[in-house]
Amino acid sequence: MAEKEKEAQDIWTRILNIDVRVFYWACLIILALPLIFPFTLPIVVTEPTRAAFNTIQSLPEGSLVLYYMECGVGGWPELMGSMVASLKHIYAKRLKFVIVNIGYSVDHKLTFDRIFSLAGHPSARGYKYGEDWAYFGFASGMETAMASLAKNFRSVYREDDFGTSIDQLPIMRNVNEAKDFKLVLCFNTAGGQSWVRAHWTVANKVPSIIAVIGAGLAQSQSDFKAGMNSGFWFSTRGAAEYEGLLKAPGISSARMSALDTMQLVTILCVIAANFAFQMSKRRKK
Amino acid sequence: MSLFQRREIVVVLTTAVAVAVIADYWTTLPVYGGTFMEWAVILGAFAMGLAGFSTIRYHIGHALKKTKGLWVFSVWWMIVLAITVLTGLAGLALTFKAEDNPIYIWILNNVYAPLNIAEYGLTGFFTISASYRLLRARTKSSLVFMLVALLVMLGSIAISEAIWSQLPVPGQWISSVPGAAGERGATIAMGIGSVIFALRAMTGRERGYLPE
Amino acid sequence: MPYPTDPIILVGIWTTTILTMFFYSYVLYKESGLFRITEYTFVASSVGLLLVTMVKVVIQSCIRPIMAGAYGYILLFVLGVLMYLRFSPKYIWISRWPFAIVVGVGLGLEIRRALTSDVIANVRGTIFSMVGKDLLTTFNNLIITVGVVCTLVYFTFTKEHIGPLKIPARLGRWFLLIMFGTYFGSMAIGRYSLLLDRINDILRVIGLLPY
Repeated sequence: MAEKEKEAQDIWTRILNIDVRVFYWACLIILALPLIFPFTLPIVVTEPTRAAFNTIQSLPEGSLVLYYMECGVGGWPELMGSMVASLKHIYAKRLKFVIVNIGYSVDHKLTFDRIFSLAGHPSARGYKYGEDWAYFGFASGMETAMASLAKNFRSVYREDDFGTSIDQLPIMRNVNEAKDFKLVLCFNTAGGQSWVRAHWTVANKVPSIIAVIGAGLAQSQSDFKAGMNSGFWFSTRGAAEYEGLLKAPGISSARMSALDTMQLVTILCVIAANFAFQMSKRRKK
Repeated sequence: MSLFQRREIVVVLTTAVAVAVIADYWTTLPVYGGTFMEWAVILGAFAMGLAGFSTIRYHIGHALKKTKGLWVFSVWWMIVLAITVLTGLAGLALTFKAEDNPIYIWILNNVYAPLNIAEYGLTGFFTISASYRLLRARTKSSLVFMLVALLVMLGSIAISEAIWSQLPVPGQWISSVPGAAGERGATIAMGIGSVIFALRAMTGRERGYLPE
Repeated sequence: MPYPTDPIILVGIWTTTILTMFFYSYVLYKESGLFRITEYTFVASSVGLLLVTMVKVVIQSCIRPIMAGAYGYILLFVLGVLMYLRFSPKYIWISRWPFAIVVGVGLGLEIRRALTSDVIANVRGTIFSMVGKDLLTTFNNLIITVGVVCTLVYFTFTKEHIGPLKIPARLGRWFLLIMFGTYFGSMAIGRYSLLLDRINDILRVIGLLPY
């Protein structure tokens, strides 16, 4: 009996000390299978996503939007869905937009090309460069640049990313500061959310919608409840909800099945680990 | 030591610039806070290269000293760096758009971008192993931590909605009410801490930002 | 999109796939020379991108205005170059001057941001939104108010947490634990999204998913 008990104890200890590479291979397979054999489940739209959708939906045609890409390539998996969906929404509402990149990432051109390859180039939607949209590229300075941009746009950008002087762009006529914009869309991986909140929304009362990565949920919820953002998209899930509202399923909706499965497996693993831990403790007693 | 070499003079300059930026926001005095901000944006562009040059010095050092186990990789590092920089600068020199050089774009699209995502993706592997090893109910605190993490995960998956429509509700409530409360309290506390740190730096008590 | 046939694109996508597999060999097998070569390749290309972007931004923001006649930018150019004297032990003191300007602006903005948005806006949001449109919202807002106050008491280290401060400080600790649990739970979807992106691309290249 003591031998059998010793053997059972070893089993629980062995379960608790599984080689981590088992998890890594399991992770790979569990993420791959739903991609190869996809399934779709309906997603319930949460309040922040609906608020973000309604904010853009309520803008009159021709309103100027600041499309602020703070993220780089590392943010594509979580934020590309909302970037593409929001651009499609902008096209549908015939809003004007100005793209800027200010932050830690310098690979803005790759993101710029990728968004348009997925959402469609503005020219294909009847947008004229310089009149309906403009691209200003990367500016250094991070928070300083965002604060300067809110105070005086031309102090940060004197020309667009293609070398054209800002004064030659009709869209930027009479656009000098934050108050000239009707909305800021911020695609944030690092500090962009707090810079927009402080220097655009709180200081200049410009509404903002934030697309956040996984770790930004608590902060965004707190800001949403305090009225410091007009809605947010939480990582791939928020983007999938938004795509559902727009009735334009995209990359985020396609990936939710794999993500859901992986998170469910994680939950089951944690439950199993705790069960084994409790059994192991009982055996030791 | 001349006057310009003294750290105290630099601290006075730092404080003067900080006060100008603050006063520019809350007053209409001509303190040129906006001008200093514009200067900082441009100086920030130069500062971008500092980290790059530090890394180059590091790898040149290892390559020249032939550090065992490192020097071969450092040489490879410098070769890749040289190819990337030269192709990028060639594009800039020709059209002022580095992206126009096809070799540079190829490197960015097929080496930099996927490996950037792959590197962050490593944390995906570590998430499941960390969850398995870390989320154990050893104490009351760890039990609460674990339950909250599991409920928040449940609250963000469509499968839980398919099982029972109310299953995601606790997780969504936790993240939007008590989670948000903790976050807001921490943000306020960190905000006060930031102000105190800034005041300490402006009064010369914190000098870590000065190059030594 | 059909599977590409252009040789350059094919070389590109297979280079991506092979490099990703070398990268993940670190976790799936063990650390090896292949992983290290890939890691060094990535870091080198990142630094290269950073340096090229730096040159472009300096030309755009400094050199071009000088060439257009704004000679005041020469001072900024000189200050920017002086930053690099931090690598010289003899002249490092000169580099403190441009850093003083950058840090001074940063400190000023830090105080502005911390006071207006981190502190005042959050306090205002907590106090003025206590009464909601219905009973449930009011209840939730009250919990948020209590949570914020208790968390702030927990962070008050100048007074010992005894007497009237004991229970609020303990409650504050629980609210912070819940916040960290929320962080952990919400991070999972993000981390898996990152990994999923690479797996998706690999499956497309090897033909298990349509390209």
